[in-house]
Amino acid sequence: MKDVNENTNGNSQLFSSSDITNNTNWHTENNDNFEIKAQNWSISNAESVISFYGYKISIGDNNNWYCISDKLSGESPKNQQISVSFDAIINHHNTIAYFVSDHYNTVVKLEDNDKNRRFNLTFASLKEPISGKIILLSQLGDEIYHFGMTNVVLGKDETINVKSEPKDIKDIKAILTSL
Amino acid sequence: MKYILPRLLIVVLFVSCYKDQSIFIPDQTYTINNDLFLSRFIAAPTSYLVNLQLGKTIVHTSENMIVEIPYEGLIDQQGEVVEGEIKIEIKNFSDKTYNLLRSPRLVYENQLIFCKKMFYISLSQNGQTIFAKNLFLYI
Repeated sequence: MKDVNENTNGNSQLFSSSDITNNTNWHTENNDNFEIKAQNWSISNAESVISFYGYKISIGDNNNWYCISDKLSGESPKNQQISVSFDAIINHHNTIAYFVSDHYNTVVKLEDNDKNRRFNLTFASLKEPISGKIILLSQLGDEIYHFGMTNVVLGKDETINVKSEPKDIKDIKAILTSL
Repeated sequence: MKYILPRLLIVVLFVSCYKDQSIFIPDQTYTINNDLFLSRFIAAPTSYLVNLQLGKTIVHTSENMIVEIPYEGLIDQQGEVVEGEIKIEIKNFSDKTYNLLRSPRLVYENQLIFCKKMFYISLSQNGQTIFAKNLFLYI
């Protein structure tokens, strides 16, 4: 995973949002003069002085969510899509689907397509394919959980089927923790 | 010949009993509450009760984030400066990949966001949301 200690300064972008709905409206500062970078900070009050290495974010505008990412290209390239089919026992009401990247710190909830029983992810064309996993988390009743996970390569695979099977919640948590 | 049919029925009965198994037919209308469902796997933000100082207030969280609140840095819904005890709910969602399952979608204008740091912060006093006029977070 990319980390703040890697030499990626000068190539970061700040996003903020006040909600967590399916269509989260991220706001970002596109001004080239706005720069966010990790560095050493000295934070002090009357009682203490703390040295800290990392990012300093100004909080405001009623936002609750903040994300620092690699700077996006700003281009509007062609879109690509991956479509995920799944077992008959699950549906859009009892299941959440995600793409989880293997090598980048990114997780994206897939969109429902109730008409053709698919979960979809539409994304701008990538510079290079990104490997990861499609994960299906399902609850079919009180304490009845199903879990499915399949390897995928964004930018290469276009359709994929994910098999789900009953799993204990402790086992699901163990798998998620290992991602 | 007259004993063949009864014997066959007994065999069929035995075989069908041997393969007895329960079949789970889920309620197809069962609908999950996403946030409640995900709370089974991913912890909610941590709450801190903080007394605002006359000078600068500093809160160092268990996830190694620092909240710096300058004097008169918070206001209530009427725009009045907040004093006294406040509640800060805060969580670093980027320290473990699976935490991001409970964060907003990492997509901006169809471009995937490759997250270096992601956090949630909420401020309140006596159950009422308050706002940052001047507040900094270090992560």
